Amino acid sequence: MSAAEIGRETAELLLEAGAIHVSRTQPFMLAGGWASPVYVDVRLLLGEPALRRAVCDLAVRYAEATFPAGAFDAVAGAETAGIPFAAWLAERTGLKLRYVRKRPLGIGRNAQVEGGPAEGLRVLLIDDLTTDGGSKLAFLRGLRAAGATVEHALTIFYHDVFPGARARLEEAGLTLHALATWADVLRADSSRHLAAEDRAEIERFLAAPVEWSARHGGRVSLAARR
Amino acid sequence: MNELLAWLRDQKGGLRTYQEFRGKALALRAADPENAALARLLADLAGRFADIYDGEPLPVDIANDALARLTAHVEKAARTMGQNPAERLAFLNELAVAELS
Repeated sequence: MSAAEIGRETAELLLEAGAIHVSRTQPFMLAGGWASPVYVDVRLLLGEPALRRAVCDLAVRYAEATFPAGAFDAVAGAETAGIPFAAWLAERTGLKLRYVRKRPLGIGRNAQVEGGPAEGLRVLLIDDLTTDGGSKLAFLRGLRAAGATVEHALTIFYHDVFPGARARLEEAGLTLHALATWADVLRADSSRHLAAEDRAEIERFLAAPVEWSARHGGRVSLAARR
Repeated sequence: MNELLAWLRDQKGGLRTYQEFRGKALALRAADPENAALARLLADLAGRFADIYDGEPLPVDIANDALARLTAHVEKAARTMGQNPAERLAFLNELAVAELS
């Protein structure tokens, strides 16, 4: 199964789950300050047994096709939605499971990584969604501080529209892998799940996301506030 | 406080602004014990907003309104630091019941 086929199937699962929300009247502000007409709630996909089994199948296929056998000792789920996804993948692959908090606990041993020691483990970071990569960097710091080797992250969906995200992660030594991006959503058959007007709005946004953000109250560039 | 204000005025207004603000305000609490309560309340104010919208859709209007409110609070915090104890206490109480949304 090719990466393109995995992308299209994942996109269809997201559409079937109702995870793609479009607002033509009230844009959303993404974590990094970009405005967007779309909000993706991958948790809706994880909540349905048949859909989560299907996306876990796709993730395992992606991993088998992308990484050499024995490349990882553990998967680490990112708080919060990355944790159940990582747990199912750990069960499917037989790998150890850890999870990583958004920030250290702040009390006791100030732990950020749970589930056992991470020292010396080669870890695949797992999350549900990537927007601009900022939260992945925090998880990466936590895992590395605990002694893990982390060079790859796998997410179900990556917006892949705003500048700087992948480069920032690469700079930190983290390669981002995503089962699907917006390009896959547009390639998938969305006719049963998206109104024509919503799809048209997504297409306008994707054609010029930075300009769309600037026109709707969000960031206007990587450097400027607005 | 003026450094924190300058930083905030240069921010994008997404959720990461509030998460980073919380960290910076807590660092200020440690570095400036005389204004620890003020820094802690500002950190909690931004942190509550970040926690409420973490993983949830944040409409642009609410984001922009929250950024304006937080900026106004920090501007007032910077002014209050030079005022008498009663005025400073009044502002601390104002912050303690404030929300960004």
